[in-house]
Amino acid sequence: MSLKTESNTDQMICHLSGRLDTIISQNLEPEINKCTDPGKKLIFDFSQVDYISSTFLRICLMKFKELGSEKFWIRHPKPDVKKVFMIAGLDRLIKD
Amino acid sequence: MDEQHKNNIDEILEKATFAAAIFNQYDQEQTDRIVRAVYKAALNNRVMLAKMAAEETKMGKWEDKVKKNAIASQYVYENIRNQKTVGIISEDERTGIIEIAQPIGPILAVIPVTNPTSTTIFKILISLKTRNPIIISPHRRGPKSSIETAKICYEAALSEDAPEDCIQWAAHKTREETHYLMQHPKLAMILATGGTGLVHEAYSSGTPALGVGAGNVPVYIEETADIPYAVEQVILSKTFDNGTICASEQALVVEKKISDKVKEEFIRKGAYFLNPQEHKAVEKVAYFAGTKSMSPEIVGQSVEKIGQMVGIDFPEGTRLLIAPLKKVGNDEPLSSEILAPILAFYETEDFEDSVRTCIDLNFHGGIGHSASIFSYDDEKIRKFSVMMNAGRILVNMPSSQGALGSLYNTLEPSFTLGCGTYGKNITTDNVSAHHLLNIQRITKRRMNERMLQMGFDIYMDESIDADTLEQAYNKHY
Repeated sequence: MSLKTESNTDQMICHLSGRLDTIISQNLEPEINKCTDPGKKLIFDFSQVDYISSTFLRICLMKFKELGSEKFWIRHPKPDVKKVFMIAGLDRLIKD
Repeated sequence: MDEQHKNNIDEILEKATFAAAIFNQYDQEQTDRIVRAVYKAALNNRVMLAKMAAEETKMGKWEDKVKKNAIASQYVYENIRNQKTVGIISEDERTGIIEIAQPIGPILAVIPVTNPTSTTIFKILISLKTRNPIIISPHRRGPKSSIETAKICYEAALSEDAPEDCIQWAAHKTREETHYLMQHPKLAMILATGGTGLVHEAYSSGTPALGVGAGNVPVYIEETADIPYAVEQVILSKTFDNGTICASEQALVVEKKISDKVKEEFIRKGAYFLNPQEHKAVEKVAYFAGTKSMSPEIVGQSVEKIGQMVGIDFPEGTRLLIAPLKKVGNDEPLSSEILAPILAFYETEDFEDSVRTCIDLNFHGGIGHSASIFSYDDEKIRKFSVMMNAGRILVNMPSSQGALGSLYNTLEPSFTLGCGTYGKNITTDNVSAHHLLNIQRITKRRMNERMLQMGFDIYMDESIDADTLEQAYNKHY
């Protein structure tokens, strides 16, 4: 499984893992949308993510646009993945 | 330019930036798989794309465009296929230096009308090999064939899981939009192949650029040359794609003592020497006095078509037109670069006079590009080469195909030929994949023994002069 969730009244944490390639990202998108509650913070925990595709990068950007910086962020990316966000100019999505 | 157009360009660059970010995670094996898929797709479509380019631009010959596509795909691929372009690419224990290849980021590829498909294939292959996304900016007179090439390459790249938007195209851009694109902060590099104005614009944009320059290639047939062979090679080169390659020969320089033989051989092989009236007529359609450069209408046209343009029936089977000239400069329009099967012809007294004429031609709009010589006198070849200001001096070979590299010599195959600083370029190289990398160097501690031996205290004494310091520095070495 690439996604495990942990939720309380205030926030939803999505623990993602492995390679988030195009196909896996496409499959994850509806599940992530189900987890999205405008009343809660949405946090992607990237500590176990090894690779991210363009598709998942877009999902992250979409969530950021939808929820804003106060309610959506990514945490604990590995250096390789953090660099992806830096090069893409999306480092504002990361809060450790 | 309105906001909508700006937003479109911003979006292209944002997509390219995302692609660059994703590409950064790819290893050598994944990268090579993508490049292989793209090269095969381009090679498989070489004929269709060549026909499309010839049809669309009305320039050149489709058969020669097939050859150009083959060079741009197969020869370029074979040159780069085993190159290391990802991660650690070299380690040297002695120097303690380890080199790491990093991609440079989104590249804007400006495509010339003369090679709309081959230059597109070439730039895509070298960009993907170095994990850089590329944005194709086609020429306004040949957008369809360049875009079709880019689409074919992109589909092939995606079939091997390349990052989305690693190849994009931006057609029908106004000058203002092109300027906005070129100076965009998210753009990493411009690969500018095209006219002088466009290359200058690329260099002036503030974005790093690898450009080209105009050519005005002199070809010196020296007295030791094998005349029939030299003539055959020049015709092979100058008629290739109707002369569209900027490295094609522009002016023959021949010593009087062999000029009759050279003329006879050219005539025998299908060249036609223009008389003064014909010369004037050709000049009018080939050159714009206003811009002091060739007319775009003449580029890549056959002798037959040129004949129709000037209303002259050249003898049937004529492959090449030759204009005997005395002077070099704006007063002699055909002494300039004309990318069509038209050559200037100069008779000279001796070696020195020949080199002087070649210098004049070289500096008349072709500085930094290429020069050609047919000779078996090595000393003269070297003297001639030192006098030329040219990135490539091609010896005993057709200059068009020779300058492209890998067919007649071991130069790198390329469709972007650097012309050095005199041609307002940063390099005289045949541009290839290795120019599209940032090389990082890990440097391990290796003490300079001279510094250990000499120390720095010696510099504190003002009375010790440079000669003494030089002696101290080199003591025991």
